[in-house]
Amino acid sequence: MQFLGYVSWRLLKAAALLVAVISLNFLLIRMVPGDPATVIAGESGMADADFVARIREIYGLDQPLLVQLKTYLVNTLSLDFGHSYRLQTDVLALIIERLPATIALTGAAFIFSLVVGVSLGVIAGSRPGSKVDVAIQFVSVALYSVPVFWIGLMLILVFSLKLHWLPASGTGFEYGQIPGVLEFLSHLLLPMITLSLFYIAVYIRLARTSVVDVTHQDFVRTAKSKGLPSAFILRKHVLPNAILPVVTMAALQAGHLVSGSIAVETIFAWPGIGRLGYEALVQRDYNMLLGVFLVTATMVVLLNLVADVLYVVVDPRIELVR
Amino acid sequence: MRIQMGMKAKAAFITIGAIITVANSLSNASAQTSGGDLVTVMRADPKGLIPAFPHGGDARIIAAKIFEGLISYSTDLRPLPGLAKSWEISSDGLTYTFKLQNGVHWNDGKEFSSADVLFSLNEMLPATNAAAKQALEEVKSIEAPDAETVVITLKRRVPYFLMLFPGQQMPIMPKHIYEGTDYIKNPANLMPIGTGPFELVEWKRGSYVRLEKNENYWKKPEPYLDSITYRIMPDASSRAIALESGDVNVATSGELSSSDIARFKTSGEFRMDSKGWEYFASQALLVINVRNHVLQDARFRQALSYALDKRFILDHVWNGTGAISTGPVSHSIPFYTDKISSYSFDPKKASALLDEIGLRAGADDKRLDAQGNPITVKLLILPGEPYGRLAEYIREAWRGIGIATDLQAVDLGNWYDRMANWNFDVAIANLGQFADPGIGARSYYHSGNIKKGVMFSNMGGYKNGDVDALFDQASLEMDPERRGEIYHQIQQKIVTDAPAIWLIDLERFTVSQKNVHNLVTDAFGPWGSWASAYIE
Repeated sequence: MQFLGYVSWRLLKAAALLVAVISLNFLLIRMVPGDPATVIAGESGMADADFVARIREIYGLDQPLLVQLKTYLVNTLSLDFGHSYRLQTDVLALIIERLPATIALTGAAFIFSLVVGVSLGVIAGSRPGSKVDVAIQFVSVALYSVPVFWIGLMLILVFSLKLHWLPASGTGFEYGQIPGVLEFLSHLLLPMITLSLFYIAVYIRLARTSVVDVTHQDFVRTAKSKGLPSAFILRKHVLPNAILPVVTMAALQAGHLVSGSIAVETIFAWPGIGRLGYEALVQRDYNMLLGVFLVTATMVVLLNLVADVLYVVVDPRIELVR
Repeated sequence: MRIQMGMKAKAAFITIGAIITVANSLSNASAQTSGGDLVTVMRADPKGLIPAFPHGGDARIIAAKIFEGLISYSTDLRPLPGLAKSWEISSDGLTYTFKLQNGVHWNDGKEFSSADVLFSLNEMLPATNAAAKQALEEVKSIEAPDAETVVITLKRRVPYFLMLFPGQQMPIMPKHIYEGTDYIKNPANLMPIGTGPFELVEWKRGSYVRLEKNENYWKKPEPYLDSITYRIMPDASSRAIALESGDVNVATSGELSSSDIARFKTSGEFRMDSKGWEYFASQALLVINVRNHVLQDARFRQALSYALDKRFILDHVWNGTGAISTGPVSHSIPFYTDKISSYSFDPKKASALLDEIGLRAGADDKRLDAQGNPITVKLLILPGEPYGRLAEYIREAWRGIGIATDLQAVDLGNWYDRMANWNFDVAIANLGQFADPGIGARSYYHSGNIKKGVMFSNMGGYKNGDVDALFDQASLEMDPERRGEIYHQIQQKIVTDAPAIWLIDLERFTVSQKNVHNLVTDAFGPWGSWASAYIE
């Protein structure tokens, strides 16, 4: 009962937070100079005042701000995210169309970075000071500091342009036919690795530090003095205690599953949500931008909620206080 | 007036066009092979596919394969037949009679006729497209005596009137689809019905736009290509790599960075055609807001110009591609003249001019105004490559004459907003010339076109009564030679007043693999129809 109360209280807070986010997003975007009318008129090469005024009217930009906000809130709550003037299509439909490609990329990167990062971190943390540890730490620092777009371009240069092993861009759907699974995976590999590298570095450091910390605690020493095998100690005593910081970080990364990655999607011409939002910003495509913000924000809020609840389940030390 | 009478007396009609059709089709008829799937790139999704709407240059690149205009232009800006197979201009210059091609169909099967032209020019374009509306302002009437003839009568002579009719500017739209509908919400906007050589198959937003050949295209045996795919690739380096790896057959200066262009030029591995940009003829320049404090003084503006080494800018910012601008009209435009005195690189002269104005140099050699405050010029940077680099150079060059520069980097929406609302001191800009000084230069330097809130008007607020009068005079002068003389005077006067600093007449390229042919057949290059393009 206490648990259910906790969950519903958190849900209520999340809903309020979302309404606040929607309103704030709406007002923030309107504060940026340059509206869709100026961009449309600018790109047409020539323009006159009547014309700009008519564009404003068509997109409802001639209404007072608060009226626009009210219309927007009402529409959004009924799941009408509006029409994208730039892409000539329904905002929600396009976001949903982009979701599979986005999640394929971010999801694959999520799993890959979690598995590789945590494994390397645990290996390093269980042998602190060894050559393996030093090598893994070096890799981690390097991956952490190198910019994503540079790594992406280097991977393309080596694996696509020089070796011709993997395609340089796209998803494989570009040529008017549906690609096979292997072909799709070959398109996915480079962007997935590029996107993963940063997170791998983070997971290595988190997992390593955490494992080292836990290894020095009394209960581990006790287990050792009992003569338990070290692999058993690692699995049964160290890992369950060392995993919490990783869960926090994973929840953060998971929050970005639907927001995609602007840099990676741009370099690899991957049709994800990150690019959708970025291009909408540049073009002042208000409805599209707000739609992307809203979907992303909802996802972050939801996953944080899930993480909070997971904590309670995973870690018996956390108690619910009324 | 006298000239008008004299020419009227002859009452003769001039026919152009038909001969060029024959010559043009002969030159293409030799080596073409049918078939082939061409893949090219685009930076972002187009904003639509209907050229009647102001969707910007990328949209028009695709639309030009689907829709057509009455005429087109050769790379030396002579008119070529399009949907009009020939045209006659009455000797008084007021009546234009277009004869339309026979056997043209919209790609839903419906027959094309003069009614479509009438609908487009009278109703749809003026309602959807500010440029077309302006262009048609001098039109008295548009009539169709029969299904194959369109007669346009003007209120006054417009020497460059024909220049306004290429499909990229004045596309002919299907009457049976759009008449009586809300143009912007018409479902055909997403599945366009045109007369052009290709038709839309799929637009997968963020990935590609795919066109396939129109089997019933009126100009047999074109088109040669089976399909054209525009891949959407937002990163400039990735686009260059895609071209090098063979994933993509064609890219243009619009999609490639100037350093990649310079690299391809040296390597020689691609076919690089610098023709096909004559109509738009972009010029990189600094627009000066002549309303603002020190910038009101022409001598100050001249000093800013003398302080810039345009040769250095050409060689190091644009990697040597392009030509140094001499004034408000670029080299490839008719009536261009180099016989004017322009601004060479001369920092000493710049400093002398600043001394003359009375802006003395204070501590650190910084120029001070009358109140003793150091003079700072705000430089608004056009987003994109290579304008950031240009801005860095300009700041250093102006520092050399004691002027501090405050660089303002903004995104495109912001840039448009500030330009249209005069919220800048000096702005890096890239302006098209539209094939005639009466269309391009006039809109940027005639004081009648100072319109707040309107992009690509006379944004700097330059006003010179003599220049206005000359522009007005030129717009009525039918004799090309006399018009040329007037435009030469205009160029010299504007250059002397220095309402802008003209930097580079940009040289743009269509870059393709060597087995791709006939991409550039008119003054529009990538904006052309590509009906005669083929892959060997």
